[in-house]
Amino acid sequence: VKALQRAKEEVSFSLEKEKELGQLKSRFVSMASHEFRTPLSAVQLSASLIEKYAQPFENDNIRKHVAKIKNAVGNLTAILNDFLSLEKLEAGKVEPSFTAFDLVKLSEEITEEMQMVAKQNQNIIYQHTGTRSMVKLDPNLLKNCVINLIANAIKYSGENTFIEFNSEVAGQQCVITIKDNGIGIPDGDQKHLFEAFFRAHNTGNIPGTGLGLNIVARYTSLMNGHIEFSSNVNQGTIFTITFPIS
Amino acid sequence: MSKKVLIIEDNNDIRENVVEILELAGYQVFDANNGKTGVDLAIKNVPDIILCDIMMPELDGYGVL
Repeated sequence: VKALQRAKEEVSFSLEKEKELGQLKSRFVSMASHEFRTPLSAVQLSASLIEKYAQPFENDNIRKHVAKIKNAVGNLTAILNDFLSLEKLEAGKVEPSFTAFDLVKLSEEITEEMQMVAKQNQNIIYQHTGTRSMVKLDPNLLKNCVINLIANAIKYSGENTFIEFNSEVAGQQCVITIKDNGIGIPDGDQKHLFEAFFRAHNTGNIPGTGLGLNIVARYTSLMNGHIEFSSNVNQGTIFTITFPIS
Repeated sequence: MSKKVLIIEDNNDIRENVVEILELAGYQVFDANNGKTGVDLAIKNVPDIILCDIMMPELDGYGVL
């Protein structure tokens, strides 16, 4: 009996310890992300100013290096944003707020925004099916999901390709698909794709944290939707998110 | 007449950079490094728009509102 008692105490002690560590980690991640973002914004703004003052570029290297700085800062900021989103999700701080909005309007805005960051001759084609376009979801979470999926499509496919972005509101469902002709996801990696920090083996030196799809999947399920995909290596990938609408 | 912008931000680098960018874009810019000075400047100059940080010493962004 005594041994059992002792074991019990030990378990509750390590549980306490574990909780404390979890909280410490949360505080560290959100503190670090915030503290990193401020100097990064300063770097970004200064780079923009340098670009402005150096125009017209007498030396093409100035333009090249400013572009490199901006690109690198952009990548880091994206990583920090992912960390922050994940931290908020884990802490249960993300609560979807359902509002009625025009899906087509939001999608067109996203398409325009993402076209600007697409590679050379990568065209994002948006199409909507159905006569209705009003949906009741969380527009911010949905936007985040779609941007993430399109950003992946851009990242994992080459120049001179099409990215098809479709939405459909029919019956009790809203379906969004994003299709690319990119490198695809190997069969063996497919079942791990939504795990945090997991990246497929064919991603090579393409930058990424493996957090994006994990966040998309969690946001989707917070809005009572589900996500699926089908993919063939070197042919492309199609992601589908489906939401019930009332 | 150019539009007046008030920027309230405690980080010096960020504030100076934003001021510079806005001035280059032709705005008349006032800046403050905390909420309290910000409110004083807002009353004195009546800007067309105020860009305000949230986490700041003295008086935070919510306090400014």
